[in-house]
Amino acid sequence: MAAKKKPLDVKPATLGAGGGALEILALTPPPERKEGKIVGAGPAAVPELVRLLREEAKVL
Amino acid sequence: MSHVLAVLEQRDGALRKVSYEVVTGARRLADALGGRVDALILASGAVKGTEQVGRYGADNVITLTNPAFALYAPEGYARTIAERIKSGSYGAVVFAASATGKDLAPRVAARLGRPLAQDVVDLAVENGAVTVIRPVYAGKALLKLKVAGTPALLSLRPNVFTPVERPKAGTQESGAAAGPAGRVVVKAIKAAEAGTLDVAEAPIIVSGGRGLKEPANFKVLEELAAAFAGRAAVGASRAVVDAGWRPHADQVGQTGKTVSPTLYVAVGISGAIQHLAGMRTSKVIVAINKDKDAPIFKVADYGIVGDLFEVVPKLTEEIKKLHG
Repeated sequence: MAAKKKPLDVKPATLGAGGGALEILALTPPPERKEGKIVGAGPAAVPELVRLLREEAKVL
Repeated sequence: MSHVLAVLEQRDGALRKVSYEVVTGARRLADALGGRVDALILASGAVKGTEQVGRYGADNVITLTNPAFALYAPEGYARTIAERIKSGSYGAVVFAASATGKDLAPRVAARLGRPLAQDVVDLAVENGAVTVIRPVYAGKALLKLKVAGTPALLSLRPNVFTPVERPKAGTQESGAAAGPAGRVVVKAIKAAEAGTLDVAEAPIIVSGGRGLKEPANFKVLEELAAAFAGRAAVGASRAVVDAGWRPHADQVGQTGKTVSPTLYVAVGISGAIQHLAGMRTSKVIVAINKDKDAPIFKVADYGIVGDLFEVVPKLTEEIKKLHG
């Protein structure tokens, strides 16, 4: 209860050098990755995966 | 008229790949601000590849040499760059958010009493002010910031800005950077293993997790990486690094490296949010996991459900055929 008797001193916050120079304009979720696909199960799906990486994603 | 200063990185007297990305980002800002791009390199002598910088849009390449600047010297670098910024009328200064840049840029910012936008993934100029986008909360959200006043200090996340050729008849300038290196100096940089690519810079990463079961099994990933003819590095999840199977330098994730390669192959990695934080900006993600409900499949572009010890060797074989 002693805390209730303590004086509460309200002071304005001051910004230091360069303070306030960064302004937040927006906070947005990152773009959703487009739905991926399961190419298949087991090693049999590998040739199809490689084909997709070459022809669709063009990363190989 | 406000110009843009691009702070480049060299190692062993050659420019690092991220330097061209920094020049490209700086060029975009300079075009919008109507100024010139000055590229600044600190080194102990002549640096290879400086004439290439003009191809990516630098108007002026400045090499400042100091015998102590062969390796990164935190105080000496920061002082030299801050002095250079004060002596010119720069609207923006662009660093790389590499391991060195993440140490250097805040030091320069503190010396100038200016805020810093770190790890920027996109930038623009709106109404004369530089605006940037940077990921926060481990990539869960994107923050758009406006930087008021000049110079705007920012560092670019590596592998996000694709170097674009914008040939400029760049001029070359060199001078000496006076003064001591500072109280803290880098004595040596030990490469983790000779001949292997750094995961932060590799265009292709093959990463393994606990699904590999034991350290010796990383051999199957090393073979797959080797099949990409020197373009791939082997990464690891935190679980296997903590277990001591792989060096910390290979760790991808929130407490490891943030990567965004063209192709990321996650093998035996379930896809904890902390791992995703380090690789979700990869261009194409392939997941190979025996658990079809693993969260990694939610971010993967292509997935194969199956035993990695059967799938990976087959993939290695197919990739070898392509390069054969």
